[in-house]
Amino acid sequence: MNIGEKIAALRKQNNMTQEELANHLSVTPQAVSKWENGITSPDISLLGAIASLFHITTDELLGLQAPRAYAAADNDVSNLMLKVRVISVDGDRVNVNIPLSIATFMLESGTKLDFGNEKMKDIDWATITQAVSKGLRGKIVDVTSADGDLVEIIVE
Amino acid sequence: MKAMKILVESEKTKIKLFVPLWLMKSKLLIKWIGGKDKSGSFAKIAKNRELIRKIYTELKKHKGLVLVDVISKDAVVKIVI
Repeated sequence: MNIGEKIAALRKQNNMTQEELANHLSVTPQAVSKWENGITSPDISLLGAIASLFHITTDELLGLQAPRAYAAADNDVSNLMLKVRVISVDGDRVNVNIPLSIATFMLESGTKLDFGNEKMKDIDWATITQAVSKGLRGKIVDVTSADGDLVEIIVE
Repeated sequence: MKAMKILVESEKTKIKLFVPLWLMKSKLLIKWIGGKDKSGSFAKIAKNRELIRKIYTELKKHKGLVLVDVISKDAVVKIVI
């Protein structure tokens, strides 16, 4: 997701129009439209203000860091992606990006979402998808096990 | 044509596959997966034709998606749509 798409998504989650966002940032609505359509990017001096407006960090805005968990205003899950990251102490790295709709189909059909990974066997997927359907987004699981294995689940 | 690019690299193996996405609906592939992974989750998915159809329809919408990227001591596995 590029910065324009991110701004568009954040704006919609906050039920804001392009004009309202433009007023907050003292720019024209056309400028916001150009950012969201990928024609131009916001000036670096505006990044702090945009991040602050949506209560995220500039790293999160730039996609350098997964957003913390937050409640989204709209409950549309059709375009969401479930991202699972596992980094084990023995050096194994697992990245799985699965459209949430597929994850839901799999769970509904009784298929486990552990992707053959031992460290993901105990995750309560039913509760996670239920929370997501009620609007939970961002980094919803961030666990470091006693062995030092890191498991992150991000919905965005 | 949408396809699934599969890369598997290990010490002894290097496999690069370019699998057209529609092939995942074929009975032959489903039977093959079921045979290779008798008790695993892939076999369970493969047996469920309705689930395969839904997954296929969704995956078609996600060109460029890195579905799986696994790096371990023994192997590297990457699946891209």
